[in-house]
This record gives sequence, C-alpha cells and structure tokens, in this order.
Amino acid sequence: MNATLQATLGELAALPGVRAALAATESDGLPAAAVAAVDVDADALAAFATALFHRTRLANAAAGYGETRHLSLDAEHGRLFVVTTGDIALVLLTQPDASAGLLRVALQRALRTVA
Amino acid sequence: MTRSVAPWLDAPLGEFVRQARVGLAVALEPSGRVLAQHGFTRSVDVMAVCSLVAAINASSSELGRQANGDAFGPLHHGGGKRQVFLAPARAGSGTVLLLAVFDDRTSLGIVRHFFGAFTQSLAQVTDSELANGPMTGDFERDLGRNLAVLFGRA
Repeated sequence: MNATLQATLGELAALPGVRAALAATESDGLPAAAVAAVDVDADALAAFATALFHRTRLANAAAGYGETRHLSLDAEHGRLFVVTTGDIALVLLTQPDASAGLLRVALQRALRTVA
Repeated sequence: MTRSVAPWLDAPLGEFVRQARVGLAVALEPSGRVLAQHGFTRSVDVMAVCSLVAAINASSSELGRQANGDAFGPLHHGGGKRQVFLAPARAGSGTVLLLAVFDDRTSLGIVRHFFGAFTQSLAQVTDSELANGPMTGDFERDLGRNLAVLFGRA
C-alpha cells in the first residue's frame, strides 16, 4: 500500500506545474505520504487542505448539494486540488498556470489506484 | 475567554485557541500548577484536569526516558466526539504543559500546526518574564490564588 501510494504521488508530482502531492487522513489532517518541493510545508498543507475540504463538505451538505467530490481553489500564486475517498485525501499544490483539467483527471485516476 | 495569571501566556494561548479552534485549553507547570485556561467554567474542573495532566506528563516522560532515552513528545488521544492533545513547550528555562480539547470543528493536524506557533511564541519568553509570574513557592497557596484569579474571584 505504501509503495503504491508513494509511486502514485511521485507520478502526480511529476506533472507540469505541481509543487507538492500528498496523501493525508481527512479526519485528522495528518500527512501519510508526500512528494513536495523543499519549500513546501507538507504538514501544514495536509492540515489546511483537509480542513478546507471538511468545511466545504459541511457547507455543501448544509446547502443540499450532496456529497463533495472534488475541491479546487485558485489563488494569486497557486492552485490547490483536493479529492477524497473514505478517509484518504489526495492533495495537489500547483503553480497558478498548471492545467486544471489534466490535474483533475490525474487526481481521479490516482484516487482509484489508492482506494 | 482566555484567562491567565502569567501575562506572557495571554497572547500565545489566546492566539492558539483562536487559530486552532479548540474548545478547552489549559496551560500549566509540570507540577500541576495552573497558569492559564480557556473554556472552563468551574475551577474544580481545572484543578482536576491539571492534576491529571501533570500525572500523565510525569508518567509518559518517565516511560519515554526508559524506552526511548528521552521524554516523549506530544500526546494525542482520540475519542468518539472529542480529542485531547497534550504537549510540553519550553518557556525560558522552564516548561509549560498545554492541554487542548477539541472536536470535529478542527483536526489534529491543525492543532499540531498552531501548537508549533505557540511553542515559538513561548521560546521568546525570558527568564525575567517568568520570574515576574505568580509563583511564590507555596504550591497550595499559589494553586488556590491562581484558580481564584482565573475564575474572577480574586
């Protein structure tokens, strides 16, 4: 499982524009494995990305939108993508010009691999 | 509301509680003497919690020394609805124990992250600020007085 996870994260991290790819437990926000640039704090990324996803899930449920499947956030200097299955969250931190469509497909594929 | 008997703890603990979104927090000396609290409404609860935290810290520290050669770091217990996080932080030449109780409004990762900021704040505390604290050396009297201050009875 760990080798599969690490290999999957390695493939995600090799995509153009990706600065960090990590897997975290969604319930407690702790990283399980990460492939990240040296200036990325993987612990903080896992904690905040999963917290954001958790909040978004609650907001969507409260609004009657059902289950949250995917979260993407565009900021001035980068993009954040989060997908979950069970208690595993996959998180990507990318450059602002990274291809959202490509990354989204790659994330869904990776999610099926690690699920 | 965060209340303390140690002015150098006011800002760091208040910031930790606000950022990490914990429901209850208490800072104490390893001896069990309370220094600051947030969220407790009864002094007897703080007293009991401080006693338990001091005992847990003493036990786990000694266990760490026996098994690991050095005291263990932060301790986390997960419950059904609530979780506790207990960790030591250096303040000047002393140590402050922080206990935080939180639920699913936050996560262990978030609590750990902001505990890091808390420890950095306490690392700036000087021994002269510590000496300006509420301690007189009489444990029982200090405990009683600190609890009175924390719950607005002093």
